[in-house]
Amino acid sequence: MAFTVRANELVLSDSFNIEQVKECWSDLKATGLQELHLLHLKDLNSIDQAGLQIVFLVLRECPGIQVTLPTNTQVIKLLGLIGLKGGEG
Amino acid sequence: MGDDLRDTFLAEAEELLEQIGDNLLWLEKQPQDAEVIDSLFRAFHTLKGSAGLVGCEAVKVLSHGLEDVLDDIRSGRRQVDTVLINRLLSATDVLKEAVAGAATGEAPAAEEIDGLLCTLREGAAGEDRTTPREPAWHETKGKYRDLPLMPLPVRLDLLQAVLQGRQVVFIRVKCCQEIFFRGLDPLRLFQSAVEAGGARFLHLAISGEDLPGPDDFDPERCYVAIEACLQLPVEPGGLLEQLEFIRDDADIQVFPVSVPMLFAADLVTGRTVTEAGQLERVKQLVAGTPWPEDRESLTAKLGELVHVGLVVAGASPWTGGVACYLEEAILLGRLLRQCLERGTPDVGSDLRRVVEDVKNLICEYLDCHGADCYPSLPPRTAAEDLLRLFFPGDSLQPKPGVVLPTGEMKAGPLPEAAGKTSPPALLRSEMLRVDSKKIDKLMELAGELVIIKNSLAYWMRLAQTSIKDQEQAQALKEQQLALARVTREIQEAVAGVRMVPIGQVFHKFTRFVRDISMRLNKEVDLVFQGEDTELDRNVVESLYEPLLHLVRNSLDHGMEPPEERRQAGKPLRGTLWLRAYHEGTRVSVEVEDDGRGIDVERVKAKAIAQGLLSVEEAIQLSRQDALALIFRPGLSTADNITEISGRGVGMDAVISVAHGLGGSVSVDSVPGSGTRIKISVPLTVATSRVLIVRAAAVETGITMDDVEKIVYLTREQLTGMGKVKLGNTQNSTVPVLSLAEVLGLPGVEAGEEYRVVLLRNGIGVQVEAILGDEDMVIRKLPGEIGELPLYKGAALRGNGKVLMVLDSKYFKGWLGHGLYRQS
Repeated sequence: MAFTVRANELVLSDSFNIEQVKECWSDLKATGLQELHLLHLKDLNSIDQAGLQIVFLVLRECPGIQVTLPTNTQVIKLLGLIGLKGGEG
Repeated sequence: MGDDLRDTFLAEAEELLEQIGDNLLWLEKQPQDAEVIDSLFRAFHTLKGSAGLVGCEAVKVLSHGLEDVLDDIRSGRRQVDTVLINRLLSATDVLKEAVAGAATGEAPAAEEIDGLLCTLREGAAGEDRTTPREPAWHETKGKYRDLPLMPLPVRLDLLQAVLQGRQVVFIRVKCCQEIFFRGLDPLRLFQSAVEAGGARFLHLAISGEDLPGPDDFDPERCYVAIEACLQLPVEPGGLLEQLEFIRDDADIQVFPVSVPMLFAADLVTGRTVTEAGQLERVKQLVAGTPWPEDRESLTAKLGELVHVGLVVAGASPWTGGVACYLEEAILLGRLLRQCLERGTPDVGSDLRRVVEDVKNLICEYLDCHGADCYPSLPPRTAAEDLLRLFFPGDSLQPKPGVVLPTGEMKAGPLPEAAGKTSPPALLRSEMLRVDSKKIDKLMELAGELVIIKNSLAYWMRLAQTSIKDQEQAQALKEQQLALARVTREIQEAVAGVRMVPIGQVFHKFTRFVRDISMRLNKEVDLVFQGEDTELDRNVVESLYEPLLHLVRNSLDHGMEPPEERRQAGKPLRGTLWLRAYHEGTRVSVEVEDDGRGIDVERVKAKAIAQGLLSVEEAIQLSRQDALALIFRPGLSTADNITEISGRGVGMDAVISVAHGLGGSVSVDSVPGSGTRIKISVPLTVATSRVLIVRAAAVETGITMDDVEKIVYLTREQLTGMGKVKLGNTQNSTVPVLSLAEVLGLPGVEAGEEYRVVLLRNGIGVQVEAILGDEDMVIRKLPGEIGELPLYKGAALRGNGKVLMVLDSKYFKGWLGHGLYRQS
């Protein structure tokens, strides 16, 4: 599973893309976006533009959210495109 | 607000508003003139900043709205037409009221300003609805507002690349929302296309400005846009081919990046630094030690500034706190360094001053905190000025608003700015703004000095005979002459400071002629001649009102409608000239039109009908005297009174002001061809050359401006007509009055030769002696004596005595009175 929505926590892993965004968003809305405190991206290995949109929205709507960054350098670069960098978020 | 600060704001605003008015009218004629658009933008920006400083909210808000409109124009989002110019002019009028309100406390109502801003915005929306939309591939909107929001290191890299002559473009790809349904990942495709096309990423980002809120968000729709700065390969065609895949599914904007685009046009809101203390490191580096003067050391210093600035900017979390222009200061420092390394300054020996200006501006940026803080020069404008100075005529010079269609995505040199470039803003500090009251005080003191000099000359003449030592007498004489010379030079220099070009008044009529001729459905070209002719500031200001009457009459009565001009075989567009030129110690100002001219018989008929003239008098009038009737109070030849003219109260005001300035007015008109009215005034009203005469043992003065010449007549040349005589001079016969008699004193028998001062108004004044002439300051006397029409005023002579100065106009009246008494 490329994503898991738990209480206060969104975990993205492996490949998060257009195939998963609809279901992920549905779960997030059900849980409550404002409840999120942690965005866990440590095991994310690839992401497309649709996936980035979700991350972008989460970061915008939850300004104080804590983020664990991935280790994959390509993904780090892509997250940098939406302003997510080490030390921020 | 402090009085000094407010006065400075008012003076600056007045200049800017005048400049704005002229530029708007120019823009109507030349809608593509990028330089004028830029100049207008800067003027509104400066006004906004100054208004913020003095807390004038109405001016600030309105200037901001107008600045937005200009920004839209220069980025190609709005087109200039007469409707837009009319709106901008109306808004500028309200802006003037708002500025005046800063002094009087009567600012325009907030509702009025809001309404005006709505109208300006509605115009933009209306254009959007009516302008046909180009295919997305040819989208040319110049949306480079976001470039200054890019991270500082990226901006520094872009600056370097552009200055190195690399072809750098900004590209924005906004896909249609349905693109994900086609199984495409636009971001990955775009990255692949750029790499395959041989371009290099200098910056890549995702823009989420169209990303909706959580309630409206559909995760399978694409909302974000891709924004990138690319360094193009030598042949950019390959990149275009690679982007073909997406052209039907996306809006693509491409435009070349220029240096000024990287600088903020205004304070970048949202960029704030919490640790203002960190700024001290940068400030210390900039202002703490003197900057070196040789280029090598200077570039090293600037390199250090950029390095330290980058460290401080990098260490400062950009959230909440004190806003400042830190990044812009660093960028400007880098630009100056690059300019010194690569540019060929067109600044002559002023390089040191330019560097000093940039240094001061950087200090200002570092001290510029808070939302209401505006620097004297916005960063983008400063960058434009530096480029003009160091790369004159080079492709690096900006052309704001020029956006190349993607089909022409060559990103080559930008077109040169059309026409002459305006003086670089960084050099403006040469000008010194001084309160005119201080200059008037200086002039007054110079006048006092003249009186003391004259007095000294008088006492020196008396003392010369009692000084026995010839050497001492000679030394005193030399010192007195030196004092006279320096006094004259001081007086001329101060008078020179007060001299301003009459163009200052002429240009006020550009808008007036445009608006009135539009209202009257007439087509009129306004032509200025001799607008650089300089006159005393007080004279120039006084001339506005008479010129206004003359121009208004010319437009309303003189100028024919186009159809009438066509029937008369004239060009459909009429011409109105405002002209100024020197004539000896005087300046002539003319208002001339090529309209229908003045119908003299009609003027006479009107004068008779209004009881100003009898039929007999009208018959005897010369053509010139009949023309002069238009200056009689209450006479108007207009059949209808309009809101523009026709009440017969303008032309006599012209005479009144001209006489008040010691001037005269004449009129010349040819039926069917046009009318020319000339006002002749002295260059300055500060000091006058006065002829000193004696009659009945009383010394009086006549200003040399009133004097035509001095003649000596024999008894035979004077024909007796009772108390008024006729003097036969070489060329003419003139009435001659006895000054003693005018003064009501017993005259002295002249003997065989009569000294007669011939005045410019055609009257001779017989005096007993001509005593010489002096530069004098004529002052109006207070009280009843000041009301006497015989005198212009009084002047203090070198011998300490007061000299009454005669008003030549009085003699004309006295002449009529004298003749009446005889009959």
